[in-house]
Formats: sequence, C-alpha cells, structure tokens
Amino acid sequence: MALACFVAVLLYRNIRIVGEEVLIAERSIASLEEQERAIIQNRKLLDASSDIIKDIESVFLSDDTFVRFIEMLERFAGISGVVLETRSAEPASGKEKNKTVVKFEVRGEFGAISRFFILLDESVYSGMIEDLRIAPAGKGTNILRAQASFVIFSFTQAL
Amino acid sequence: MAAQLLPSEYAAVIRREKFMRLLALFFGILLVSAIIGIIFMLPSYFMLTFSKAEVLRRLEVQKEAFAHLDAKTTENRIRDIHRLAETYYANESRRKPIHPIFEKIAFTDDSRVRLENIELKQENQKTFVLSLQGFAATREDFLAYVAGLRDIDGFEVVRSPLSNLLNDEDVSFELEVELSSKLYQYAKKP
Repeated sequence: MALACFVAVLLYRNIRIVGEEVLIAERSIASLEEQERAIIQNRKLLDASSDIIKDIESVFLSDDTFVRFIEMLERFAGISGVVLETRSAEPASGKEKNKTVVKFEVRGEFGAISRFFILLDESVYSGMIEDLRIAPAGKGTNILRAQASFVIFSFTQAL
Repeated sequence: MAAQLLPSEYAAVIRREKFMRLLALFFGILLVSAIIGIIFMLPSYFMLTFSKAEVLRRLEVQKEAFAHLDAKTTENRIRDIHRLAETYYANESRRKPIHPIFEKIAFTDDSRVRLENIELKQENQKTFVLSLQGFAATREDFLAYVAGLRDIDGFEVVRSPLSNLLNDEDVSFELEVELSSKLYQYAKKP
C-alpha cells in the first residue's frame, strides 16, 4: 500500500514537472511563431513601402550625395533665370553635427531672384537661409546680386 | 444508560476489533484511491513524457528558423527608417520660408521708393533683423513706406534713425526691421 501511494505521489509530481516544461516550451514556440509572423509582415511592409522609404532617404544628404543639392540649385537657377555661383560648403559650427552651410551667390533681377528663393523654399531638402545680402550688381543696372548662406538641416551619413 | 451484559474483558476485545476493522477500511480506501490515481495518471504521464521530446525538438527547429530570419537586420532597418522619418518631420517643422519676406518688402511703388540693399542677418542666436537701404522720392513717400512696413504682420519693430528725415526730397534711408519668430526664426534642433 505504501508503495502504491509512493508511486502515485511520484507520478503526480513528475506529471506536474514535465507538464510545466512542455507548457513553457509551447509558449516559447508560440512566441517565436508570432515574432516570425511579425517580421515577415514587417518585411512585406518594407517592400511595399520601398518607394516612400527611398523618398525619405533621398531628402537626406551625405558627402556622397551632396552633389544632388548643388545640381538642384543649378536647376532652380536655370528655371528662375538667375546666374548661380556656389562659393563654399562646410559643416556648420556648434553642436549640431547634421547640418551644413552652403554659401552661394545669385545674380539677376529682383523677380528672378525671388523666384529662385521661392523654389529653394519649396525644395525637398530641409533648411533655411541663415544670412542674405542683396545689393545692385553695378551702377545703372537692374541686376541684383544676392549672397546667401543656406543651412541644410538634413545632412547625415548614408544608411 | 444501557446495561452492560458482556464481561469487561470481552468488551475491550470487541472495541479493539472495531478499531482494527476501521483502520483496515481506511487503508483499504487509501490503497484503492492510490491505485485508481495511478491508473488515471499513467496515460497522462506517458503522453507528456513522449510529447516533451517532440515539443523540445519543435522548439529547437523554431529557434533555428527564427535565427535564419535575421530579425536583427530587419529591426535595425525599421529603426533607421523611423529615425529618419522623425528627423525629417523635426527638420520640416524648423523650416522657415524666406520668400514671404520678399513679398512683404516689395509692396512699394518702384518710382517713389527704391530699395538698394537688403540684408538679412541674425541679431542674436534666434532673432533675425532685416536691414533695408534705399531711396525715396520725397519724405512723404518715405514715411508712407515706413508706415506700410509697420503695418506688416511679422515685422515686430521697424527702426528708422532720425537722419532718414533730414531731406525733403531724394531721401536716402536706412531701416532695420526686427522680424517676429513666427515669420522667420532659426529654431535649434528639438
């Protein structure tokens, strides 16, 4: 009788231990399966949003892609009818590492210069004019010379 | 009180016999319960013991499959995109267009008031000041231009030195306009 009781207690204890182990393992499997599904879902989402992601990435400039900004300035100059001369481009001083200051000069009539800055305001690259000086290019002419410093906020390392 | 007909030694034997039978019944029930328990628990025990190996094997397979998924790369990619999107929106919120300032100062009639030099600079770390130099046909034209500037939303202070008022005609003037932070401000990174 004692043996029967002992066997029963032993069986019960083993069932509980093994049952707990199996339960933990099942929960881990379910959790991993859920994470796997989430990752696959996210990958699909990334693939589906690749165009938007490319657009977001393209608004950030790096050393490698900085030329795109210069090309954009040249394109705006062509559209607005001003003559563009890029002076310098250097990292901004201070704590903000992800910005660069581009100094340039545009020459043209007031309307053309305004058009150029309207286009610049609407450009995809975040930034703003930090310093601007507009003066006549010479005596007896309508042509103005605008010297500007444009701070690009979104200057970062490429992903 | 019931009459005790048995001698006292028989009565004691009968009490002991009753106790022994009750004890035997108790252990008998206990034994039957243990056996029934064993009979009912055995299938569960074997089922769990055999399925444990299978479940652990499935867990290992699942772990390996998960490791092959390279979840870290996907997570890092999502985090990078999230960070870029956040930075983009933060940068866009700091952005201030300059063309509205051109529109605001160009309201004047060219034949009466002509701007020669326009300079936009930071007076301190945040505030922007617009310096305007030009010519007005008469003092009245100049005063009208200044009054017009003062009425413009976003031009906080228009500073005009007294020297601007010395001539009645062919007025050469210099003005300083302090721009409001709403109109033009260099916002530091949030």
